[in-house]
Amino acid sequence: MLGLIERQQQRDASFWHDWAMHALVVLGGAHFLAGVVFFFAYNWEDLSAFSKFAILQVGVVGAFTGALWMRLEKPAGQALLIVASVLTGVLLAVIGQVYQTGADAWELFAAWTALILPWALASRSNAHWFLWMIVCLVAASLYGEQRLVALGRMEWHTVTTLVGILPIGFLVVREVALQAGMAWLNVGWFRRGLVVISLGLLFVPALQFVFDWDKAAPGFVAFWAVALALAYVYTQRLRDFPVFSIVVAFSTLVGMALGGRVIFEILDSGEAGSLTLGLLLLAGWCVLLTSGAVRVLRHQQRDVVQGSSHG
Amino acid sequence: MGNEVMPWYVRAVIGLGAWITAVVMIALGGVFVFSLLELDDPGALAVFGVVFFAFGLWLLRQEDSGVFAEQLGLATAAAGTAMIAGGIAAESESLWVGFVVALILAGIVITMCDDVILQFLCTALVAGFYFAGLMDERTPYFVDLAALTTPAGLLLMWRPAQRNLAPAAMALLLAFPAISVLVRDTLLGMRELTMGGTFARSLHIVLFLGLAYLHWRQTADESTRLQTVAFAMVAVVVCLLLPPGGSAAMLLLMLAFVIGSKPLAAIGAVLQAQFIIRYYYSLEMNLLDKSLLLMGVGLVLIAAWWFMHRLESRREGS
Repeated sequence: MLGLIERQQQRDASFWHDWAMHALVVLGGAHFLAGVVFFFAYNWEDLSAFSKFAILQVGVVGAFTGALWMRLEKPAGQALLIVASVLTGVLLAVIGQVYQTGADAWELFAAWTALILPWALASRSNAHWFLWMIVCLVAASLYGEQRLVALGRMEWHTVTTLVGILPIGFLVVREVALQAGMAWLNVGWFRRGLVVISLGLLFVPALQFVFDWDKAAPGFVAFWAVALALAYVYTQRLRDFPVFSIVVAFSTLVGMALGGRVIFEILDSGEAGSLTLGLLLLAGWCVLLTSGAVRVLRHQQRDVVQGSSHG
Repeated sequence: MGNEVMPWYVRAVIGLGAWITAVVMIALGGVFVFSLLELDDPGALAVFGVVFFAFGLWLLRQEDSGVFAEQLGLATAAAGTAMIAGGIAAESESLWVGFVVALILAGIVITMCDDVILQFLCTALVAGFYFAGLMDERTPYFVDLAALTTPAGLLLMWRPAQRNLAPAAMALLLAFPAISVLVRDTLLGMRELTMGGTFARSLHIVLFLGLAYLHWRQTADESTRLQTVAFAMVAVVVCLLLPPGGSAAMLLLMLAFVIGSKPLAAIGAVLQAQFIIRYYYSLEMNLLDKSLLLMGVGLVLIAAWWFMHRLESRREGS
């Protein structure tokens, strides 16, 4: 009888060989780049403005040229283009720091989003697009905070709700592009990453609504609308069981919070007896929701397995 | 369909639900004992916990009990474990007593039921008491002693067992990287103590080499064996250079490669990324030294990649 470590015949040797090669180059690159960033952070104060610009601009041009030389179809070329995009953001930050432009942070991120868009379009890389979307989301979030919330035009939870819906817009574009034949977009982590970001952001106003009835109702509605839409699309149209599991996880958490609020709203006497009863009911509610989630997930998994065996 | 055949992310969803429910149940037990019955004795919480634990295990041992009973049993048994260990630890004013009790209860859970999530939660509780005991007594060489959870996890994965010990092994393997993320500030507060780290680093090297050897032994192809040897040499250099938190995450990546575990690979990658980010704020050395060290590690890894890439190209050429 073998221990778990020695049951290696169950693993896909070819997949893990490729994974090891990718892991080595990605980890190596990440550690080296982090070392370079730490090095400049150490010397940053002592560098002249000219040196700062020169270093970063040489970095951007070098990475871009290297990407073209290595060819954009290859992972190394795509990785270098990502480096160029990251360095562009750093360069914009240094311009703001040296010239004290007075620009808000959202303007920096908006400019960054616009400037690296052509590279993201050219890269045909999921990682590059993911980076672009993160920068875009940060820009939108900062715009909301620094312009809309600060000037009293919008509540913070409304901004979070709108920013939380944005990844769903990206997801729709991604799915349409994939259907149109852009096969390089067909990686699971990209789709699931967008779903986690969207529901993670919408989870905040949804919880705010649960614990403070007067506020964040649009966030609560948006959370459920997005969750239901995702559940429908990824079970009925584009089957993706991990996406459905993510939706079920977030929905269960909001459901637990909602149950807790309702229970303690009803049993609000502050006495030990009502507190005990409330916790007992809440525990029962949590068990009920978790078992419901398990039941739904098992049912869906069975469907996926049957669907794939018939397909 | 038992939860052992579910994908890891589904088990994570169930585990999260069970963990939250268990926390509510612990609160329920606390309120019942301390507020409703107005008992001051923390030992009473343990007695209440025994009822929870026994009821939970009984539910889990019923065949065809249904999903609701399964989840109720899981959460109740998890809450009971924490209440017994916590109650006895508070009564005896010793976290080490709590550790021993949690260890015994985890053994009972492993022996008496097959629920992988409960096994994971109970083992995580054991690790939690172990770390809390070390920190509470401000134990010298904390890092070295905390790192012992990793070989314990690997041992459970390595040795043949009648029961499925993978969840317990996973909890122990994740314990050291998790503690290095969660209690960094506390660790910084203990800077006057000899924190250790050299032994932990050496331990990670030995474990890395052990895993590489196991993989080497399973492989018949000569060039793959050569790659494994090269990888092991690189791993030794990386473990020597990186602090224990970083080398523990790298060890998880190696284990993911050897056993072919995608979730472990994802966890290892995330832990390594957060290690690099947090390393920036670490006070144990200045930024220049840290930058040189990271660049060195990066170059070693890229050189290893280049060497293996060339080896493959030659093999394909011939």
